[in-house]
Amino acid sequence: MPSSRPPTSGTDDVADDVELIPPQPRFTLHSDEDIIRSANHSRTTSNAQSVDISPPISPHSVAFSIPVNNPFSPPASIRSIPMSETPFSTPGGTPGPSSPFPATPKTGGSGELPRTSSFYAIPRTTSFSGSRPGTADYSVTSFGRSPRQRDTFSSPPSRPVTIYSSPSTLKLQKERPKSTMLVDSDALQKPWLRKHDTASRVAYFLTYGVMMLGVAAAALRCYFDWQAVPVIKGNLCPVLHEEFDSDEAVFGDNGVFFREVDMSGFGCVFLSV
Amino acid sequence: MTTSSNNNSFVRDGHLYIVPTLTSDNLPLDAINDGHIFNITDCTFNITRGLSYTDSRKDGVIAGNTSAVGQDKFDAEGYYKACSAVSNNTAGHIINPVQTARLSTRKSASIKYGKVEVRARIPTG
Repeated sequence: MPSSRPPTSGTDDVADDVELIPPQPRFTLHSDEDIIRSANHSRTTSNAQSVDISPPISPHSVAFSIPVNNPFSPPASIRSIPMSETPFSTPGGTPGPSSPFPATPKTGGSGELPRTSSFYAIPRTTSFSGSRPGTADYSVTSFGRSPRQRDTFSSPPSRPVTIYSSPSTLKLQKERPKSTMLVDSDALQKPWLRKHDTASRVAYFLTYGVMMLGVAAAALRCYFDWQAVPVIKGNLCPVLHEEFDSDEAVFGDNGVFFREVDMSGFGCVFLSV
Repeated sequence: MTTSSNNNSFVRDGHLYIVPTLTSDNLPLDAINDGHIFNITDCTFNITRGLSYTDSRKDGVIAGNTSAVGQDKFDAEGYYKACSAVSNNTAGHIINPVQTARLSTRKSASIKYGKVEVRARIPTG
């Protein structure tokens, strides 16, 4: 892709003597630490070239280390689509209420780009990559651009227009951003690599060993008590063998069975006092 | 209420039957609920003294025949309680509504240790 200037920290080349120097980008493209350091909810843009329009910047994109000349240029599939400037005059004309950062009065192509951005600056219209408040060329696009730059405005209207969306490019899918929850790997503790504490090992096995000893003792006790139950196996004499032949033999005066008669019952037995 | 009636315990076809019946077959239901004094026939409290022969009371009679004759003190309260019932609606007492039988071999056979084999059919429910 054509690049008109190297991607260094940008300064204006148009009437920048009087103006305040915008805050410098807090990251470089080639070191992870810097990217992590600057990844805390701030988006900065590099100085986009006059031709390139930055892709939608998201928190993920900040942490990317995309090894291209301009990381914020839109993907090649988008760059070649021509489009008109008309839909962008209106969003360009109303940046104020929706974006907290001022629209710098720069005209003509290159130059001043909004360095700081905010997450709350969501564009009203369904604009494309070029006219987002967070993109590098926001103010540039609103104040007239060269016709050559209009090619990059075209993008499918169905693209999600949020500042959090990241361009669904192949590069993005291949290079996942490093998680912001990871700490420095030197600070990780790996106790399994160190020498094991013998005292804790001994304590562990001693505790569970004594526990198992108790369980085994209980099992042994159960077994021995079972064996010690007195069971009469042999030498049994028949005391009563009843066939219920006749009523008289069962219930008669010399009968086998004796009928107990009283008013007890339902589980209660009257006891004598 | 355990009776000596043949309705509750009888032998038929080589089997012993122990059958529960309702007291209301013999008494009207109003009498069971209120205002009736019921005396059971052939009450054996004097023989059993209210004790089953498996009871382990020290001063009780464990087995065998006993009789109230010869006792120093007649247990009238126990006798009334074991051989009769009074129904009173206000007091909440009724005549025992179910009659059945209780059989024991205390007169014929007893063992201390041993083995008992029974073939019996248990009622459903």
